[in-house]
Amino acid sequence: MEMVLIKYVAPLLIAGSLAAVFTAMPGVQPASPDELAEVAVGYIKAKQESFGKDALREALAKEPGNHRANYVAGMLALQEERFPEAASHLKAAYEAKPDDRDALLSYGVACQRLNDYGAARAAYEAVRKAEPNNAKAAYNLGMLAIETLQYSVAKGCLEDYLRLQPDAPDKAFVSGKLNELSALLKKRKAV
Amino acid sequence: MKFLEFLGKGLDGLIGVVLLVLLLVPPLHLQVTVLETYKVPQEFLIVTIGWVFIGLVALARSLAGQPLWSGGSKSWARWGTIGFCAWLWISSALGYSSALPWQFAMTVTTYLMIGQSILDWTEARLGRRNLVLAGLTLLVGCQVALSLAEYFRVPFSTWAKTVPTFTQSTGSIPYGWWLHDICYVLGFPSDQGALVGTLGNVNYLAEFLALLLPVLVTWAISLKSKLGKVALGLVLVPAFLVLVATGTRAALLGLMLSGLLAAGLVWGWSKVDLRRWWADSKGKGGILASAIVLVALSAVTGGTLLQKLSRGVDGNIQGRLMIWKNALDLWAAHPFSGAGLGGFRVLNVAELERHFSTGLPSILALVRFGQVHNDPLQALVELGVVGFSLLLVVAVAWWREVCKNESLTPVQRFGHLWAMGALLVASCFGFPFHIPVTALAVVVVFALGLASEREATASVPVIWRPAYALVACGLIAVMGVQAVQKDVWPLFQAHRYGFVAGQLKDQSRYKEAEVVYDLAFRHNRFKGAEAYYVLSTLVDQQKYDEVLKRYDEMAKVGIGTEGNYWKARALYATGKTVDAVNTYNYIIRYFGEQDDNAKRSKRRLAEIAEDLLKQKDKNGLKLVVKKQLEPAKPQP
Repeated sequence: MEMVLIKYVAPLLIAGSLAAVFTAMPGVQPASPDELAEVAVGYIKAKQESFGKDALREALAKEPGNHRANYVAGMLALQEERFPEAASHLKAAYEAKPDDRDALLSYGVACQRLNDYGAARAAYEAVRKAEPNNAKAAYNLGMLAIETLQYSVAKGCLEDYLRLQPDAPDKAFVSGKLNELSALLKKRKAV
Repeated sequence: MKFLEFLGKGLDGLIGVVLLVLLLVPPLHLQVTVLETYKVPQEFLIVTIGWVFIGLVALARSLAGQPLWSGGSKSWARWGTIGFCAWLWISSALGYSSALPWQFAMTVTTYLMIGQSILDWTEARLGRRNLVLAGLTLLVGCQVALSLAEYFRVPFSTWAKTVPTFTQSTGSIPYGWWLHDICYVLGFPSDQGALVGTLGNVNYLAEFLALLLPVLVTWAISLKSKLGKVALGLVLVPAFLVLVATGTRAALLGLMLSGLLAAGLVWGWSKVDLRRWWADSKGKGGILASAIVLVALSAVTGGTLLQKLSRGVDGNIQGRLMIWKNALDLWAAHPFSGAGLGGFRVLNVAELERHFSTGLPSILALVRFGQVHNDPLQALVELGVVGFSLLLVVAVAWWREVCKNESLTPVQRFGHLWAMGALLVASCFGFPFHIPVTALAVVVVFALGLASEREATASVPVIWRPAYALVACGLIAVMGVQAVQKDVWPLFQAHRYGFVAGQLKDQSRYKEAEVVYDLAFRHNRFKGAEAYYVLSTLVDQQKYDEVLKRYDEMAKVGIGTEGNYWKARALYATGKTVDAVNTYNYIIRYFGEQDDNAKRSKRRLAEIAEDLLKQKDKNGLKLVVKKQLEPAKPQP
């Protein structure tokens, strides 16, 4: 009986002890959601979007409301024209960090592309209110106003845009739009 | 009962296949960082496949009603190994503390358990030894074929360009998983005509061959089949020529010394009395003929050995003497318990920094001398007197037990002793026990030397066997999963994060690069992270003080020439011209013309000289010019 114990139970005890030591051994502290979001940025920059998405999924599984992960996921979705997903991530990013105007502005873009003009306008206006000199918000609000046929609002916003960013790369395009708007408004007055 | 027998037979076949995969796949698996083949992913594969093998052997034994890990019972070498394994963990706990020693201890424990499982499996049927030896022969054959292809400059690099890139630039998985990478890696030494196989360095290949050739040659001699002998000869003769052509003095010295000692142990000391040989005309002729054959072979195979011997005490030997002295000093500071696994690298740097106020020799310490280049001494430094003594017990007991092993023919006994002795001598000048492929071969030879007909008969009642198997395999599965999760996976992740950090840096996203770099560094301090990412990032941002601060932090765990290059840039930018010039010159001296950072350093020195000329700084200029004229780097 003693021999059986030594032969058969002792190896199990040794294995059990080793398993306990291995389990108790300190593991590497896993990546935080913020770090995973930066990893995702790296992959996206390296044009490895699928790995970037894996990292974002892992980050959001760990902390669904994480600002950085939601922002990066939202921007990626926006880039890939997955607008509902983009809107939900960017909204979550903005809610996690209310002073993140970039997230709010991009949320507005996603809403605009989903034809939710009310939400988009609210987002752009909130950004303009917080940052009166935000050229992007002026531009987006102007384009939204064109889309909703509010030509005078559009004209004012686009003029603001050129005032805030006199060397804008799309200056010629915006100036063309302003000329078209002026002509339309004149026609409208004449009518 | 019949079902269990049937299951056992199926398992035996599967174990054989897994063992062949374990012996062949990791060593032939390549990675892009050619000069650091002892890093991921070979180790990744050895540990992962190793646990599958350990688990299957345990399951087969449990179902056959045999106790776990009882192969080699009553062997003092085996008890010594168990004691050594236990001490590894204790010493790591007492030594320099970080996550690394624990990971390292897990790896070593895995290797030892692979050895025990091979012993269990071969003792159950001794004929299985032939399968293991055949696997090793195949492995040697592949390495020799690849080495010769590299030597004759087969255009692997050109082929790499024709194969589509799949993994090399993705960073999704460690390098070396795709044909492009394999061609790329093999193309690197073939550009220089180097004999390295997949081991990445001539010395690693020579040590590997010095271990396996004696075992395989003596196996070939004891084979009855003539066809088998011829087939083995076709592999082993070119392998021996490759070994001579590497010109590795330590491995060849090991083979000669160990051959004499092993012959003395097996056939009696009177047979190897060199004075008697010399006194006899035939013996004298034999000795002279052997020397002439060796010289002729060396000349025929490129003359590397003769060149090395003609240099006498060269930079390689001087460097080793310096590091051994440091190692002894470090051992004196922790004589009993040692510095813990991996502790040498950390402490050695600190010690050198203390001796050299400029901190410059850390280039030597970190890159060339991250290892002691003397494995027994490294065992003494890292595991203390206790660990070293346990290793001695294991070595002596193994030699005694192999000498008495009735299941081996005298020639085979001689082959095992010769092999292990040769590696032991070679390890006094290198670090073969730290190279995963060679370390795996060591545990295989160790196990084969002990395997004999002493297997206990099955005695667990049939009804209890499934329950015993369940408990045993459950415990082993927990160990395997933990080892992969805590040891291997972090290395794998570190590689991925290192790639991402580089991408971010290339996109000038410095802030994000730093976050990801730190993540890589945390996952594996020595192996995964490339320390220079963050330094170059900071230099780009002109945060020079931060560079120097970070460098000191990183130097404690390892940094390469690139790190030193960025440090030099920061030193120069902060007005420490002398230190900067010294650092550049150390890079050039110790890493030579081939190193990219040495080339960059040369260009920077020229730029500094121009700056100093403009500033009319004669003393500074003298320093640059003088340092540029310093002798070239010692040969690696």
